[in-house]
Amino acid sequence: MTVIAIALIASTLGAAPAGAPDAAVLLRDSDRARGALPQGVTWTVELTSEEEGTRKAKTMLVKARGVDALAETIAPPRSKGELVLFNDRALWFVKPGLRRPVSISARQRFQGDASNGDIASTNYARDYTGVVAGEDVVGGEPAWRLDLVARASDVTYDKIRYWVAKRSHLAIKAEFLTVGGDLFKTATFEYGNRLRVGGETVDFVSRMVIRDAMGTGSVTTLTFSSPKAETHAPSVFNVNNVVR
Amino acid sequence: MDEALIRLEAVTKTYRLGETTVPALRGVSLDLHPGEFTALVGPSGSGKSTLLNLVGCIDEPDTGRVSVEGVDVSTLSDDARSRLRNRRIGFIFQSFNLVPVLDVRENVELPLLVHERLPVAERRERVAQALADVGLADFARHPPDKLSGGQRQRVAIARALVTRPILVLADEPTANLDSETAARILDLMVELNERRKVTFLFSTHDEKLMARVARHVHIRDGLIEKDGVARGA
Amino acid sequence: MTGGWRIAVRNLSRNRRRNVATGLAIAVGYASLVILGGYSNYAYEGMGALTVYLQRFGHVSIHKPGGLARAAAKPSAYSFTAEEQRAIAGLLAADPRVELAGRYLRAGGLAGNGCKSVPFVATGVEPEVEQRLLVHPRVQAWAPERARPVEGAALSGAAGEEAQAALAVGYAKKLRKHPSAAEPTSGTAPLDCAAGRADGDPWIQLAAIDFDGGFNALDARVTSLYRAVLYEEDKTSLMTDLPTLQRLLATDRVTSFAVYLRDPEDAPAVARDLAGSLERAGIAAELHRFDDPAASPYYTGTLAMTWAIVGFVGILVVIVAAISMLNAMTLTILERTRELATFRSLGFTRRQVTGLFLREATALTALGIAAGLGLGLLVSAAVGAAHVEIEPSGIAGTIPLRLVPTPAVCVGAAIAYFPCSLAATWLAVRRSVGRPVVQLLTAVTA
Repeated sequence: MTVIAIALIASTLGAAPAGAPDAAVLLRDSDRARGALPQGVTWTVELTSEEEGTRKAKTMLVKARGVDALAETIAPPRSKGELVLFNDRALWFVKPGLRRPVSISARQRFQGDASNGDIASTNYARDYTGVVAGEDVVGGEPAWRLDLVARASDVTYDKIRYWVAKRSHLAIKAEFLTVGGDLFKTATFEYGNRLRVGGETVDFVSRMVIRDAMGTGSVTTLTFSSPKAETHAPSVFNVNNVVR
Repeated sequence: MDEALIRLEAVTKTYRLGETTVPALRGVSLDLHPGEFTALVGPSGSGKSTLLNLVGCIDEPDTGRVSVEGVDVSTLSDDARSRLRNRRIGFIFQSFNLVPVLDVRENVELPLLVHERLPVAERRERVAQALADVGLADFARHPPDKLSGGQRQRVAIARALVTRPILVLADEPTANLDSETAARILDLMVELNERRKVTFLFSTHDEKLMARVARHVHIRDGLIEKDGVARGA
Repeated sequence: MTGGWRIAVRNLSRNRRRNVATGLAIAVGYASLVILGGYSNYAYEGMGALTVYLQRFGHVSIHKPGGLARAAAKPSAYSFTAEEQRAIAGLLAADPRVELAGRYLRAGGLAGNGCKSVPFVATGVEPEVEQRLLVHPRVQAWAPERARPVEGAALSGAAGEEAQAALAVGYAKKLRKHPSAAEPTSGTAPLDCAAGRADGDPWIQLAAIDFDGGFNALDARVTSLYRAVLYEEDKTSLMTDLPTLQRLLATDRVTSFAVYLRDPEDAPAVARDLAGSLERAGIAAELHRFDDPAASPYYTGTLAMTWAIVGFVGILVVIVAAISMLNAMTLTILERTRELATFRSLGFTRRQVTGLFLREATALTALGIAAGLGLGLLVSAAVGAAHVEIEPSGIAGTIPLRLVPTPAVCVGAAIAYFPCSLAATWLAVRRSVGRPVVQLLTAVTA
């Protein structure tokens, strides 16, 4: 896997457009707007999906800090109190009354087309090796096109084609690919939120729309709201503390 | 003479021996009549055995005709000839040809096994009669290999008689026996010929045995040399 | 011809060494057919019991269309509603050929031990059906060792609120869980996952996407370990009582019915009748018989393979025995040319003489078969007593090797033998018997 990744990088490195910034920098910058901030941050995300004619919605309060995150379901009432804990790449599902947390996978479906790895902060800089493979205009916005290859098998997607705006360094579009390179989901991002953190105001993701690319026509929307900087004690993210 | 049991008409037979052909019979005509006791005399290679085989319907002539009770044998199928042998002809072999796994009684019974519809009681009766005729009633349960040569040939004679044939053929029946036993076997055959009116044709090259036989047919080089009734018989 | 059998049997005592050798060839060959037949019968019955009862497939299974292949991956799309379940149960209850029917829910998910999670394919079973299934005479006759839990007690469903799970041995090993683990004294102690200490208690967490599309989880007590039938099932399968799995999936639906019949022979007819009545009831369903290659490829594949091997070896064995007979009879007829001539001279027809040899071959074959039957049954009994375990490919773990010859197998093998023996004999004697009598009489071989 590593050998293939390195070979891929080597072969595409030469093709990087002139003047392109370092892919790692683009990923780090775009990750910040998707929740991966070294300081603590809290936001709310509402996940709606439409499948076979039924609409489903779930609202979560997400607390994130660096590589850790905790997503707590606050609606609907049936799911209230369910937690997904992110410790670096380890994910835990916790439910009130459950004796132990359940180790879950980032790539497992959470709801609709959203995978567990999509619902909290995004750390593509940590999880992927990226190269700038080209440049495109996406929705009127000039963007670098990055090819991302997973560094490990437990990350959300094996391969991602990722468009990061040249001007803002915000990710505006993603295509999620299987290990064989087949497209199976696409996502678009909007950044209508502002977050004041570390003395500056940064853009923060407001919508992620995930569309199935295999013909079911299903759409899952994640609406992010009220992001605010907040200090989270490390114990918030300790798996042994979240089980009550 | 239409009452002939067996009639051979201008019969020829040659054998192929490798590259050469050996004429065994070169035009033989012969009639055998009921109740006759005939000796077929000749040196070895004279055609005696061939003649007996033709009469016994186990061989066919190249030319000429063999008839049994007026029926041309060549017109019969193999099965019909088998049946003819079984019902009409008894065989006595030089080396007895008894079946070693069968006891004396069973050997004698052998030709009756293919007599369809012969009641078991009659079969037993006939076997007992045949054994009595050859003086072996006490040896019924003996296996053949416990018997002397003379006794074995008596078993063979009983076997030949048990079907009540019209003709008994004996090919050198005494050749494997000492002279005293041979004489007794011949006496037995003569006695049976007289008492049971069985027709006998036997081959021999032993002149001594011919004394008590009425009709002598001399054969040499495939031809009948002399056919006549012996003096003093 | 009368007395032919007597002559034939007497003749067996001649050249005893050769006849013993030929008889032994027949006996060993026949014994091997009995043994092979016993094995294939065991494979047939054993595989049948495993497939029908222990894989909970039933003689006939009822799925939603496409459900056989896909229900476990997406149970919500291939499940019967409560109303449909009642209708189907009514149909099955009314059919006297049906001995027992079970409802099953199959679904994939994850089970966790507090440290890691392992994917599973779970089967929700009705405990009251299980109790009858596991003691079924066919299971007890052919696969009793696999019906017994390896550890713990079978799912009882009597634990009330507490969810129970039975894990396949290989799956339990991955989760490091077993039923006899000590109950935690107070609450749940933090786990030291890095040290691999996950086996602190008998509890696991079952998690799955429920029928509403949400992620759900519940605690279940591991009450038993069982030996799965297939190798791949051993690594992935677990069973719970049906209500527990339904609770996990937030549904009252099931994905299949297994129909257990009093007489397996009824399977085609029952499947046909059920298909008709389900259609009339307006329930879309697909029915599969346990011997349907699409439904149970392992069962049908294994049996096809077994039959092929048995057939192939059987044919070889019969051919070897026939060649041995051909050889023996060729020598016999050479030795007995003079005798053959005698019989022919005395008026036996060709057919009658041939009949004598055929009788002899028949008697020898019968003796060989009798000896072979004894030998085969002896070996079968010895193998059974030796408790040999074999590891058939595709099967999880080992199964005891048993040879269970049936009368049908023994009779069938014997029936295969005689024509071959007789044909070989006929071939051997045909030429000699066909020769003119005078040639036989003067032949010098005797």
